[in-house]
Amino acid sequence: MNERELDLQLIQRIQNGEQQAFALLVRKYQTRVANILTRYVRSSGDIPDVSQEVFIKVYKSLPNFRGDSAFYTWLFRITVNTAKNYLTSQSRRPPASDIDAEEADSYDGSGALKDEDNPESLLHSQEIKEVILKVIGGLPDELKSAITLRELEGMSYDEIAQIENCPIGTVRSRIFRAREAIDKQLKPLLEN
Amino acid sequence: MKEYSQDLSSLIDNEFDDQEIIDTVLEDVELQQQFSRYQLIGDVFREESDGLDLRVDVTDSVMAAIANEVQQDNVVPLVTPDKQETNVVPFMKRFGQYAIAASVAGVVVVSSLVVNQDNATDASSTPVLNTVPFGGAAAPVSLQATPAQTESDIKERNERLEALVKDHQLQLQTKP
Amino acid sequence: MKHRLFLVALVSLISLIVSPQLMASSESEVAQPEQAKTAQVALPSALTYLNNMKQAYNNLNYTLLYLNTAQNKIEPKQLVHGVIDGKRISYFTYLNGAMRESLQFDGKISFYQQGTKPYSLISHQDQSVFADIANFDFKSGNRSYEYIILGKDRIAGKKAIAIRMISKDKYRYSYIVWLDLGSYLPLRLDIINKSNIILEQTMVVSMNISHTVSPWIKQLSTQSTPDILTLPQTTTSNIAQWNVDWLPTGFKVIKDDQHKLMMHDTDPVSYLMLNDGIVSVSVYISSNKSLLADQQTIIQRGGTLIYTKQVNNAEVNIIGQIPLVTAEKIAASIKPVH
Repeated sequence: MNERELDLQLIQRIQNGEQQAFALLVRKYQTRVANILTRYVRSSGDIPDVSQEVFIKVYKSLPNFRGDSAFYTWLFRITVNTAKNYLTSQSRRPPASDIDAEEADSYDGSGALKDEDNPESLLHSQEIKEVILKVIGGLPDELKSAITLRELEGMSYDEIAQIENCPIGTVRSRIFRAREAIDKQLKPLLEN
Repeated sequence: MKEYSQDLSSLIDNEFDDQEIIDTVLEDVELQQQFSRYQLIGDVFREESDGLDLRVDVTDSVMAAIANEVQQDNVVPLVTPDKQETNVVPFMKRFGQYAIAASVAGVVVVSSLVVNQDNATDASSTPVLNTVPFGGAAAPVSLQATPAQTESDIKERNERLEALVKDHQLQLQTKP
Repeated sequence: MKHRLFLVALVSLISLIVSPQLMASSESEVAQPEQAKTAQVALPSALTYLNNMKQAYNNLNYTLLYLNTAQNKIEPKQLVHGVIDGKRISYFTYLNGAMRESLQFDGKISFYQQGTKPYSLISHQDQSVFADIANFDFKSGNRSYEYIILGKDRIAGKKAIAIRMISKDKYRYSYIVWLDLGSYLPLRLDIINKSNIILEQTMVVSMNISHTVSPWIKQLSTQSTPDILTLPQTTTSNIAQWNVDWLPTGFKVIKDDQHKLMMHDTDPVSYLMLNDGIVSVSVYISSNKSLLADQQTIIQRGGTLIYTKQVNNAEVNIIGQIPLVTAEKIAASIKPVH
């Protein structure tokens, strides 16, 4: 099946005026967009704002997106472009003569903190990552292999079924069961 | 709930083309959050989440901004039918300096620029300047002060350069 | 025909990778009747691609979303092109920042920008992004450029072929153009200097081709356009006459007049536009020196050069997509007519 299918279904809905469908595109791609932005945006505190700007641009340009290239490729370009604009606007800012209030909070003189990362949030994110990877590590072999082939190798159910020598329906349910198991541990972490 | 969850999982993998599940997800906040978490699992697995605060979710703020946006700009109309006055207007009379300049060339004049030492030229006598780009083609301009120059000198030179660039742009548009 | 083209492309591709000796053997395997005529074989095929590009660019209905990159700045832009009853129409817009749009149709180009009054100019040459390259007379242009197929690539999700237009002298820049193998529309254009540095790049990120012209742009073609502005001209009296003794091969003077700079009530300048079929260069000569002429000034942005020099008691300004050496040589050749 086509890699872009969900994207295209959603884009079609948006182009037909169903604005809400855009929320799923944001949900699907926000981590990847933020990940690209980390290469450009120094201060991690600015990433949500720049991400938001990216998605608003994407939404505005969507009427022109006709689907001959992958949505992600297109999104990637807009993200990089927005990031570069952000950099330009940053460089035009006059150099501050003093440490401003925001920076002062994390500036304890020790030099241990290189940027404005909030240690608490990083710790928490680290925990989320560890939990996900731990649960995957502890999955029964057939579930672990199915989710790995899907998420890391990007294979379709059909390809996985051929490798694992099982029906597509089984692949479907194995991947789901893997996700369900991880989600059970993940959900409470994101909710507090 | 559970039956939807498996469909949701397939949907994420582009292995489900029933429009109904999308309808269902779009109406159910709970399912949408599940959709996000399923995506997050993949993102973490692929190591695309390093250095990020994983609890940040921009979905709501993006959707709010879009809702706002849609109200104020419904596709900008290109041509607002112009009232027919005289057909041909002498160029200089009609326009203030900046209106035409900006629209022809998209000229941006910046006040301070980096001097780029190009080793192909004699740097001591020749300032080589980076300028902010415009249009598809040419470039706008500004000169940086060297100590001997007064502010009005720089202003005059910048104006001269700007005039040249604008003129060049216009000549390109109307070239035979 | 398609087969042959493919073969030729393949051969020239191989020639880039393997040594001449290997090349000869691979050619004999292919059993070409003439031997060692790679250059002659490759030339028509690259030329065919380029001519196909010209056809496609001028005749198809398409929308391109593209990025212009020069130095550190990227500008996303959009071009919508259509053909209505045999007449071309192009709509162009910047996608970021203030709204800046233009529409070219029926011998006119109209400009619209947020906050300013729209206007039109009489314009007969296509001003759209790839127009200068796409409308080049490739056949006679081989006096100035050599065309070489570089190989296949993927741009904007499309299979593309890259063709290099190498300048035969140091007085102009070279180009690499990527064409969509399906439609032959240009997908990417790099302007490169003789050290192979990319000075400017235009890259399509999304392309849509339709069989019929978009109803939206058709609608635009029926709306009235803003007033036409005329560019002022000055008569030749009272202005010193100048001769340019040297032009790079392939360049011709396509405009020669005297005028005041637009919107600036300056003294009239002598003006020449030089053109080699791709690049247009403006040469301004003024006997009243401005402060610019105190020292030689070189401003470079992407491929565009702005060059100022004092020559024979006059100020010479040269603007265009040419290397510095070209501007220097043109300026040095300017002499007063007695």
